[in-house]
Amino acid sequence: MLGLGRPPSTAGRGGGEGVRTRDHLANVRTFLAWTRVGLAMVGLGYVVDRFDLLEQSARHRALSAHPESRALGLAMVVLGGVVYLGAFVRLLVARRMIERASFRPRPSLDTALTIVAALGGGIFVAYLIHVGG
Amino acid sequence: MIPDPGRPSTAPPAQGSSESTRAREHLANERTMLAWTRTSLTLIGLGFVVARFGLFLRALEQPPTASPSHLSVSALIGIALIVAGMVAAAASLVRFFRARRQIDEGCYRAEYWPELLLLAMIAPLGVALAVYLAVNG
Repeated sequence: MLGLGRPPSTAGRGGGEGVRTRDHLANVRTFLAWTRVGLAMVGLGYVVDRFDLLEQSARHRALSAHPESRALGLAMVVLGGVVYLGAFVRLLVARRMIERASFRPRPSLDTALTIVAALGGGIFVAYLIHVGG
Repeated sequence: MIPDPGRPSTAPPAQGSSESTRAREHLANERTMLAWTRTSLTLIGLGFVVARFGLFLRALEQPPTASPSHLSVSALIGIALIVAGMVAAAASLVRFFRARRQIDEGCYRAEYWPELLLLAMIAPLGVALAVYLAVNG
């Protein structure tokens, strides 16, 4: 359970015990980097959503002039949560591959994130132009 | 309990690892510790923003509704995020010293309880924040 009781396997020691240890530690750092990406998305989504409320307050309006900012903010929070959930799955999959000395990089997640980030930037620009000054 | 950082490890050289490999393992362990610390600080910063922004918006409410002594939902989520950051920092310290000993003993175990603990804290908080944003408008 949780990798606590299990003795270290010998399969992952193709490059020596020290290499296996460093592989696992690098895997944890990669997980944490993904988690920070997810948390950054959650934070950005929260700020986008609350800024809309701030604008509403500042202009003394009962309703938001731009309801789509609420949707954008909420979508980013949900997407951020999906990212750190996926990060944990990735951690466990990579951990098993390291133990079996059969690590294969899977760039699909990275590609997806980069595309989402690029598209997200475009959506943000379109949103800012739409909201105006 | 916390070993003296200035004292060289007295453990025998790890089995099957040369001295320079062992040094790189310890340095990798330290980088992992720092990655945990950055994650903790991210959580604490996020919690601060969530709590303070909620308070700021409530101060702008016309007319003022809730009494100032009453903690808002955003303040509660923000504080919970900060506590999660503190718990993650404490867990990472335990993890760091466990891994340090295991490296010296030459039998590193890829434990994942700190990662599971982190996920168990931030997943419900993410859901809470999403629900809060969806409901509160």
